[in-house]
Amino acid sequence: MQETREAVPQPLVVQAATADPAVLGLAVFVLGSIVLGLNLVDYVTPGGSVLAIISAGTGLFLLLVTLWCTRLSQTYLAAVFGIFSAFWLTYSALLLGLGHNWYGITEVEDIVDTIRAFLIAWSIILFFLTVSALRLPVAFPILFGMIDLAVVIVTVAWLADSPPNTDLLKVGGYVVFAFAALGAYAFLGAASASLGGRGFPLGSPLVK
Amino acid sequence: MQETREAPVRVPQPLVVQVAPEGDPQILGLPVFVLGSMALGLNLLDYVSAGGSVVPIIFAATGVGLLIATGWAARLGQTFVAGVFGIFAAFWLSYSALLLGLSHNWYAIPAEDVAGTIRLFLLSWASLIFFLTVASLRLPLAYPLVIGLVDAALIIVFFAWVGDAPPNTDLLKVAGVVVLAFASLGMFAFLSVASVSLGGRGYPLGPTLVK
Repeated sequence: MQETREAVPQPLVVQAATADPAVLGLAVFVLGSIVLGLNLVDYVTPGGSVLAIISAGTGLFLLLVTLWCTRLSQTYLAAVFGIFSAFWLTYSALLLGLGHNWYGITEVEDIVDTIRAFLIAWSIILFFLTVSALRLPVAFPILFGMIDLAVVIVTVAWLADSPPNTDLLKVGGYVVFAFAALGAYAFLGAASASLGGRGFPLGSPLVK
Repeated sequence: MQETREAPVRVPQPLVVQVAPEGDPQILGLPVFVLGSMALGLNLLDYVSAGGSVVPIIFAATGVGLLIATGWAARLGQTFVAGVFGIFAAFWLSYSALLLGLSHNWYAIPAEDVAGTIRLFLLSWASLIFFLTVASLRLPLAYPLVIGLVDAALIIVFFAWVGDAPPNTDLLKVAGVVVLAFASLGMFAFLSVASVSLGGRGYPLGPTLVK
């Protein structure tokens, strides 16, 4: 039997306990997605009906989760939650601003163009977010890709001749429900892991 | 000259110790949650009819207090506690935003769509709280019971608002009783946490349903 000898005493590493911001972030993201999906499938028609949840619930709390991630030095997670916080807060600002004429946009065609510009800008940034997420487990690029798909479908609905095309909005709403379900699955997995259980499988990264 | 061979060096694995500041954020989170629940329960039981009567408590005490408890739990590394308090902080703050926004017409919602907007709010929250109930099954029974009763109350209030306004007041009163029931359970959990924080015993909160 070969002898071994101790070179150094066992090192002691002291780490600060950290909590996972994804549990709260995913939950409020799912909440905002459900309310948006119900609005798009015309459960309630006025766009303003979603505002209480998407501003005071989803937008605000994703912002707090972003700050939480930055404190933990979780760079990419902070960016993702920050981008989605920006989405929900700018969507709130769009609805409130158009509803109260804050932006001085009065002509109907200008209002339609403003909504189109908002949607096109977000479609582009979400496309690049999807590409950047390819190193994550496959569930995340799928999630971001579906969000981008929903925004593109709603954009096309607003580019129609007599905007918006309500049939296309409903298709967008069903895509929103689909990614809300995927978000709920990721939330349940993160919650299970936080309570000592197993996380749920999220697939392998597409790019290593 | 004879060579001497030294025995291989065994590098010991580091011993990782996680440390967190002490304290239990439930001591703040539970009482402010109970406070908001009592205000809501009394409102649903028609002690005061106006929905806005609950806003000072649910916004400035429950919503803000739960937000602070969320930050405290996050600092202690308590992921799930931070998640639960954060979700309920979002509930009370968005409920405040709904009541304030509807009464001041912030959201430009026509009168005929107000009931639908309230149903939309309730249905969305009932869906999320259902997932939270499922997620909490690894905790002692009292916790999924509280969260499940919150979901039951939301669903009952949703059905009270199905159809045109005004809502079905009998169903609202049933929901009010459910709200006071989960408030009582929350108060029991608070007394347990308070007892432990002062060196006493915790109260029995039941077994976990999922191990």
